[in-house]
Amino acid sequence: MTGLSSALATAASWQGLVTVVLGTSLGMIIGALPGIGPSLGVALLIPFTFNFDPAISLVFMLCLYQGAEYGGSITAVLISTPGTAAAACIVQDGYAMNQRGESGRALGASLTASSIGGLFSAMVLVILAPFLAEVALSFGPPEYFSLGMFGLGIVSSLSSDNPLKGWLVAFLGLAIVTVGIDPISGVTRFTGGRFELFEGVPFMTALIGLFAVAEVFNMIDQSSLRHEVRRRLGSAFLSLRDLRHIMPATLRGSVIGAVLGVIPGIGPSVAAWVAYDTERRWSKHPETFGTGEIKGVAAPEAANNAVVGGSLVPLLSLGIPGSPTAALLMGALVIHGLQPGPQLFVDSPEIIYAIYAGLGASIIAMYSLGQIAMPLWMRVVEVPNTILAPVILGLALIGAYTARNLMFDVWLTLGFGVLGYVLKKYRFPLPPLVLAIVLGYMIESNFRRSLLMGEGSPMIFMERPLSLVLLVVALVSMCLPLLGNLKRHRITSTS
Amino acid sequence: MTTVIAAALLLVAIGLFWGSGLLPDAADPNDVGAAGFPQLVAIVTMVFAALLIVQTLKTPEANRAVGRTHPRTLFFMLLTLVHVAAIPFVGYYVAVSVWLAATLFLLGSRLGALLVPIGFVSFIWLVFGRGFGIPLP
Repeated sequence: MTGLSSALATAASWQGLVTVVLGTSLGMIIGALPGIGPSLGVALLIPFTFNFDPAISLVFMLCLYQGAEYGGSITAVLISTPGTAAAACIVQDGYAMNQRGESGRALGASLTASSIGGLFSAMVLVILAPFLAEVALSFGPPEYFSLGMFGLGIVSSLSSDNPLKGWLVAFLGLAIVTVGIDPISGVTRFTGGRFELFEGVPFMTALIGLFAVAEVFNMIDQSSLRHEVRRRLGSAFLSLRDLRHIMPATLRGSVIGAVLGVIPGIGPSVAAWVAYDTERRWSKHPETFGTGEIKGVAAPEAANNAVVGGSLVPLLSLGIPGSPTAALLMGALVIHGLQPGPQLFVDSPEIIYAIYAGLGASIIAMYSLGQIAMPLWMRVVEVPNTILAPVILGLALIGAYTARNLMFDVWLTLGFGVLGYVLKKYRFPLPPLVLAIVLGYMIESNFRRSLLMGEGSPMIFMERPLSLVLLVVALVSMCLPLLGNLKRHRITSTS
Repeated sequence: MTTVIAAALLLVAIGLFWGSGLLPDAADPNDVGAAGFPQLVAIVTMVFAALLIVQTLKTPEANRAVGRTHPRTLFFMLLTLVHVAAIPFVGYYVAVSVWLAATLFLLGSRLGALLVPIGFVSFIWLVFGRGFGIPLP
């Protein structure tokens, strides 16, 4: 109780309040800027916290993390440029809602769902941390591979128009992921001798190109560029009806995000896509997803913020970070002389309570600041496309550069932009390509690790129950829509 | 054009398969090696590409483009390429200012061509240059 009262006193102090507001605001801005992201933001700002009280330092970084996971959705909705990899998932529906004059509704859904997701995972962290940590420990390479394949099973549902096109671009994504140093043997593959490709194709570079740059080219194509209709802003507040409508999706997304966040190495991107697909399958009108369905914004946003609390579960319980940003938080703990793991609960309970308080405060701050700032964000839609298009492209290219300070990445982004533009023009869906790039490394490296564990036998995937279940579901998800589409085309050709 | 894209992807897959064959074998016999996964991806891609080519030849009307490419889009792409190529020679701030002014003029916003480069460059300098300390070319 001493630790709890100390944490509450810190949270209520003026330093605590300033920390929460500053951390959350900076987080939202960092998340909105493409190419920065929560990991880089936390890494850049950790040095400023060296002289802070450890509890204040952790609260600041948690607020930054939480704010950044939401911030990525702002630019995703307003200018089709995901600020974070996880926000790529909501571009389709969020930007479509923006185009319909419902940017306020989209941003409101994103903010509300992010807040609920964050709150849910904070409760999960407080109540279920030790139990969930045991579950996380049971995941080995076969389970990670099967989870990756399960994630890839989403491809079919992301390409309802023509699953064959979806699968083709998904495998193009997997081919792209093979560029770089092989994860097991260390052999360099398909880099053409360029050191910039040794780590593979950076996926933020690919995302910015495929979504932002391609969309800018598309904007310039539109014949209404010179005589465009001014888009309505829409209301900045979510109606009760919308709130009731998105609540089940938000809760499902929160559960998915919290559970997947617990598993080290999964991260918010995968959680967001799994939540999106789950919601689409659950829906009575799956055909509306991708055309401006509000649940297509709410579910992934709830999931990606729920990952924040989930990723702290293995960190606090076992000393294993659940995400790259959690790894940086672990570094911050070590810098302050604290050892993450079960002993932290005994030696420094005030730090644990400070983390809990920080999570809670970050959600309140994020929602409040998000609502206050929303009318400002929404002013972006009043800017004519003639000005918006080049500015978005400028921002996208600087975002591509800042990831590694390499001009090569800018060229790569432009290349992906042209690729995305051409693919979209001929109705190839982009989300499967993005999903494959996100999952590809996890799939290949864990496939090969599993084979090494099983001494070359693929039966290892069948012998582990969780792995078997995930694989069967993945196979069914992949094959059914594909067979259905081939059958439809055969019937069309015959008639 | 969809057929062309599918054919291009088929060629990429063939190249991937062939390139993978040049990679060294794995030291551990239980590992598929550096070539295993790319070759598997290449084979599946070839199958999907071939199926799509057959499908588009049978139903060409279902695979037409969404709208046409406006000539200004191509010119905009060209200007963007030139601006990125110029950055290492003239520096980021000069290149992006000239590019923004040129593209806004091309898109019909004359006032924007004067004001937006100043505002954009100032924002980038403040946030990325000073705020995050990221050195720009």
